[in-house]
Amino acid sequence: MSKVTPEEEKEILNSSPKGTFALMLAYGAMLLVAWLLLYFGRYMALGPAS
Amino acid sequence: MQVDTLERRWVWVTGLIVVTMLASIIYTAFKLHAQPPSNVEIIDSTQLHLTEEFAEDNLGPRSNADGSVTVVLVAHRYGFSPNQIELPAGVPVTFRVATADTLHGLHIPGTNIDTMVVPGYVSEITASIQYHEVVKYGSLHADGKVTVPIYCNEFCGLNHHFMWSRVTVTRTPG
Repeated sequence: MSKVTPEEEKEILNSSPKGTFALMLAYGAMLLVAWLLLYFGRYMALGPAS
Repeated sequence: MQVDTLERRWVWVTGLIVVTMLASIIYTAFKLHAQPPSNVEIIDSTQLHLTEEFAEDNLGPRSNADGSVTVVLVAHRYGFSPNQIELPAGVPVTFRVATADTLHGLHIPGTNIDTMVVPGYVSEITASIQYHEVVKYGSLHADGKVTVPIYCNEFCGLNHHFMWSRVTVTRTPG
């Protein structure tokens, strides 16, 4: 494992967490894709009702 | 106001999700006319047999001049009248349903035909039955017709689970 210098450690702690954002982005993308699949692939595929 | 970078990014992501969902709903509502059934028409549920439209002889499907079909049904404990109807696939079908007693529902699997039937009101829903979808849920006959059930999906009494009827869907050419 590479050593983290005190300056690098300070910079990491003061910056916005990238891993958390990546997880949230992946979760948001999955949610949106699942919703679109259900809405257009399942609901609208049966034909619009009014 | 101090907003953390992570929070600001997440606001954009959730905003994008909400905008995409709303845009999809608005597009399908205006362009494809996918809207919740919203007919407000009152009727005396105890006098259905005395009305012209819901009299026993006038129930069932009838074809309109524009090629669409209107189906008039009465929901009652524990069935639908008439209990066997035949409809073409791929044409607009309007269901007009009234209940003779208590709250009922109307649902045809493989379609978006799904509405509550509230005492005192005429429920109306228009949809087009997709043959390739109903064939997954119904019984396929040798002549290509498919019979699917019509369910009551609102609890209406002790025999609610026996309340169902049949619709036979015919394949339209083309």
